Amino acid sequence: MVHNAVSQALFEEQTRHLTGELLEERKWRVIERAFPVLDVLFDAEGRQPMRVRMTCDDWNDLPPSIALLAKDGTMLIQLPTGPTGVFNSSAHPVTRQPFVCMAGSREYHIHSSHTSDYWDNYRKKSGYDLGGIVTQIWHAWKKSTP
Amino acid sequence: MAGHELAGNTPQENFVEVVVLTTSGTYPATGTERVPANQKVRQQLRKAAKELGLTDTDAWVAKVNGQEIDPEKSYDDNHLTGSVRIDWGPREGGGGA
Repeated sequence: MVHNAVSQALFEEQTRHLTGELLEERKWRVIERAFPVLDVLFDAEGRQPMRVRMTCDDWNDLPPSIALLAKDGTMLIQLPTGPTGVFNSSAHPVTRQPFVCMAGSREYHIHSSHTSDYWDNYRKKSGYDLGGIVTQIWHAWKKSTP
Repeated sequence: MAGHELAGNTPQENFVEVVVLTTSGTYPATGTERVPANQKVRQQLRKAAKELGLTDTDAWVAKVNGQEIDPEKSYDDNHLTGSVRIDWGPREGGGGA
């Protein structure tokens, strides 16, 4: 198990560039960046904003647990829909909440349908650091129905 | 004088000012880099990857003003001029069942 201090150091390193021009370009706002929580608001013209709240305890031994929230921080009950299949509105068998159904989400890897799709196969891959996972979710959101 | 060239009539090269934005940092770290407009975008992305320690980025998506561009084409061929801010990152993962 990754020591807590190592998890925190990795978290800090992989989130420290979520600032400035990048946020401006993507219309993101960082609501919280304090280990183990990274909470990012996605905004775009003509669509409901969405917050992605990632709890990164035991990062990157474990992928982040990801909650999808409305702008005010309440749980999203109705998730965006679209061609990517990333947003699953059904109750997760463990969390009983809608969830992000994509490699890199803890809820994906502990779901009974994907238990053989191990996080270990992804954790060192390009795009599966914390910034990469948020980016993937953002791209899925951009393709979803507003 | 034989030939078609006149003194002083050298081709003018167009340039663009480029910054690459990623969640691992920006390239260059501050400001922009002046790049020939007829250069392939991929060249700048490779420099960014090297500087920022990024690997396996060939499948990443590059966007300017929210529109995907083709890194195998030049800035000219992508119809990009002046100041170019390239947003670069991994595409969305495939959704599970």
